[in-house]
This record gives sequence, C-alpha cells and structure tokens, in this order.
Amino acid sequence: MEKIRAEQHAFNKLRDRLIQDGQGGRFVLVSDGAVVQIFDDAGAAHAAGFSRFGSEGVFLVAPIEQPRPITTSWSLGVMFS
Amino acid sequence: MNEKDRQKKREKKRAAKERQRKKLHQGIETHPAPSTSQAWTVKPPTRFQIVMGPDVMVGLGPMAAAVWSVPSQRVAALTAEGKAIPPPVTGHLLVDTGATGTCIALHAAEQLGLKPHATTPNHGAHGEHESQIFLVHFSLAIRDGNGPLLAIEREMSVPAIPDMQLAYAKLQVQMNGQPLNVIGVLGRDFLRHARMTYDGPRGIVEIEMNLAGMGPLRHVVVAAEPQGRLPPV
Repeated sequence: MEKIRAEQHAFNKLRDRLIQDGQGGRFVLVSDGAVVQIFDDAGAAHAAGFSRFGSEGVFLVAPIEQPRPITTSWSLGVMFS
Repeated sequence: MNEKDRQKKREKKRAAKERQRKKLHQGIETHPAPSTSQAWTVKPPTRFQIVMGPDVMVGLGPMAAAVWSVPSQRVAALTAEGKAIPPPVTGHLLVDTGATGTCIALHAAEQLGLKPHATTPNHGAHGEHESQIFLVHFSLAIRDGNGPLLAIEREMSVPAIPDMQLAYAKLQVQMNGQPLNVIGVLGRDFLRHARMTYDGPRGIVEIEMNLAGMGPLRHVVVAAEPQGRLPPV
C-alpha cells in the first residue's frame, strides 16, 4: 500500500502539467515517481506495466484527468450498527 | 410485574429474535454464476429480479450474483512467469444507490492476488479515507424468469472496501449451506444503465437494463449450459 500511495502522490504532482501538455484523457504509467509512458487506453497501460514490471511489480496506471473522489454509503457502522 | 410475567416477556423477546434470525436465513433466492460456455441465439434478456423477501431485504439489502476474476493483462503476466492463476471469486454484490461506482471487497481482491494500481479519496459514511484501486474482470448474471442467461462482463478499475466479509459473517447468513459471500457493491456506474424498482413490501428488486447504453462493455455474452439446459436460478 505504501509504494502505490507514493506513486499516486508522485502522479498527483505531475497531473496538472500533463493536462497542460495536452495529455488529458489519456492514461499514464508511473513507476518510481516518474512517468514511464502515456497510452490512449487503460488496457494498453496495464499490459505495458505487467510486461515491464511483472506480476509482482508495483506501478501506477491512472487516467490523466482531475481527480473525481468517490462515495460509498457502505460502512460497517452504518450497515450494522 | 411479577417474576412470571418478566419470564414470559423474556421468552417472547427471545422467540421474536429467533423468528427474525430464521427469516434472514431462509429468504434469499439463489442466482446462478455467469456461464460463458455456449453462445445462445435468442434475444438477450434485459430484465432481472432479485427476490429476497421483505425481512431479508431490510436486513441485508438487495444482492446480485457476480463473479470477480483475474484481468486478462495479469493473466498474461502470470502465464509468462509460469505462475498459477487464482480461481474466480463468486459471491454477491450489494446493490448500492449510495455508491458512485461498483466496488470490490478487499478480501476478494486479495483472494485473486491483485495488486492496487492507484488510490483515490473516498467519501464514506464515516468521513474521508483512501481506497486502493484494482483492475479486475467483472461478470454479472442477468436472467428474466426461466429465460436465457445473459452474462455482462468487462474489465474495470474499481476501489476496494475493507472488512465487508467480517460484517456479513457476524450475521451468519447462509446460502445453499455456504456462508453468504458479499464481494462488493454494485454502484451507480452500473445503475446508470438500469431502471430499478424497489418493492419493499414484497422484498423484490426489479432491474431493467439498457444494454445499448453500456458502451464500454468488453463482452456481452448470452449463454446457457451445454444442451441448451439453463443453469438453475
């Protein structure tokens, strides 16, 4: 979890610049805090990540867009209080 | 109130609790796991019912049968490395209109040996926390009455929810003699393609899908068991 969190943090810092560079809507592959490659679709980015880093490798694949926080109503306390 | 009355009251309370427990254990109708064994030539079904009974629906919420499995990209990597591919995880998803998107239970992602590929802020009922995101293969069974079975399948990135199995294990609900395995939630990304009717008094949820609107689906397979025999619902 710590490693992917660090990759996410690195991407969060790079995101705005990538959008300014016209990469918005594409998918980024990040490893060790740096952009490895940018792809047109998520499937290709994942395939490249597995091919390069293997099944045990930690790498980030994310859409290049402003973050959209999610909501879930499910929670232990709410469902089974 | 004398001791006899108090005893009577306690027994009544115990009996009511036992009735409630039995209802929780009895009411769930089983759904088939999606099968992709054979192409089916008739028109695919677009409607399906989740029949649980009113009390079970209150206790658990509507549940839809689903399967998570290892995504194709990871299958390719594991195969190239000569490693075993973990078997699919079969169970039920809670239909959750309060969830932005479909989520996987963390224990299901761990059973599949998946690694997170991102994280995202998650605004839950207890404030904000960070969720891991996993790429996973998703299958959902749709069947209208005794008609053919439609398996909707796609590969998607979904956030994980921790501790789901712990919560449901406490309820000790069984299906077909097995503990109910709740493996995630079906959220509004799915429901945006559906018209849903929640019939509380009957304990039934009817879902009608707009398949044409489900653009990014990787596979839509209308399937049946060999010899045209349909899997039991």
